[in-house]
Amino acid sequence: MSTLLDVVAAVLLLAGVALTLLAAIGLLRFPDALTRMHAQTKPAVFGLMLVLAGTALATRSIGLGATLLLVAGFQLLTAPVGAHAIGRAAYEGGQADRARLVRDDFAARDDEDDPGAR
Amino acid sequence: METVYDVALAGLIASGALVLVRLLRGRTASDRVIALDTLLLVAVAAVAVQIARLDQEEYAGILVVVSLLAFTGTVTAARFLERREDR
Amino acid sequence: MADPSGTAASTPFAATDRRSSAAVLRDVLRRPGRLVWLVLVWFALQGDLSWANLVAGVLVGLGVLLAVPPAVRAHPSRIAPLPALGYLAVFGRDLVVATLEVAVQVFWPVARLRPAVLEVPLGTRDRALVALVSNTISLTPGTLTIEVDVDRGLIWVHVLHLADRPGAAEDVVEQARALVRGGARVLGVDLDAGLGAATDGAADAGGSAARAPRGRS
Repeated sequence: MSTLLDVVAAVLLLAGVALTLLAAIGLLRFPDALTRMHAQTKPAVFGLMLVLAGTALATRSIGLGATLLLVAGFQLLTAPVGAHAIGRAAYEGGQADRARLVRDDFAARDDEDDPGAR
Repeated sequence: METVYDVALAGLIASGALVLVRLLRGRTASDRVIALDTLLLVAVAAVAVQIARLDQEEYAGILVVVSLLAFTGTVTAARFLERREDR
Repeated sequence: MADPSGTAASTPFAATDRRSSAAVLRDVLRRPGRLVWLVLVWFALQGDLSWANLVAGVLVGLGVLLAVPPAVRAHPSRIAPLPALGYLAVFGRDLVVATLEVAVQVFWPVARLRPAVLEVPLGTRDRALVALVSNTISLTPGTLTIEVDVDRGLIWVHVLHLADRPGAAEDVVEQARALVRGGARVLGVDLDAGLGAATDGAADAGGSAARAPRGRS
């Protein structure tokens, strides 16, 4: 039984690290800030959660498991907010490569009835 | 099991190195903020693996604090970046 | 954050009030749920179940509730457990699929990527629902909510890669609207109420949610 848990923990750990590696590669290869956001936040966060799950299983301690669950829950709640904040800052602040966008509905509506438009 | 930890740590170090390249190359400030956030995530993962490897639960507090700081730092930096264009 | 033009639907919080400490404590005695939750979180943080931690947890919890009194919501939302599980299941499936997609896209030649910003009419002004759907979209690999206009019930979503076939954009919008319908069932939001000046989004989303609460996903 204990070796089965160890095997599952090992799989989780390695899968998590693989996802994180993927996120890092994406961070390097993607062309601009906004697209890099996609590579970074989600796969990295899920990689982290897999690693946390693997750690919880490997140590088989309930107290640690509860703390790690808390950290994972916190990441789940805050990662989308952080991603949105940076995505918005990159887009509005002109740091994203707008020319690359195949279709941009937000720019199209800017001229209409938005009093705060630049 | 020991080799699994070693491989995991090696993978995380490699990820960290790649992210560091992006941090240095960056170009825009947003890129660097994203890179820092990812670096912190990698650090948290590495600490978790170390906890499993050394079987020491005391370091779990680090995970909580670093996660909190990463989040507040990222959002603060993002709000600052957003505001810069209005001036 | 004041919302001078808001109706009840778009301002879920009562006017900002500075409640006295006595009022907060009385509220805690009447509804101990929040304090219980905080104590559980404290236990999880310490990783240790003990009497000392119980005392400490209660003290810290009370301190938190006094320092940051929770806002009073005009319409407290109930979470329906069965639809919530369904929502999580759909999210889980989307998560796995999307992660694999992004994993492949990381290795594509960069020129092949077609990022786009799509406008998604949600058909609702309920802030909790908009927040839920926006966050779910942001959390799913490949999509990110970058702008929100609650008063018009609109969000703008940045997608990493928009497939080159006709109708790809509509598919993404439809996926988001499905999330809205599912989320409305979870939070108990009436999609028929929608926006004052109804767009066609409100009309058809409201119909499917109100008339067929079960058996639709």
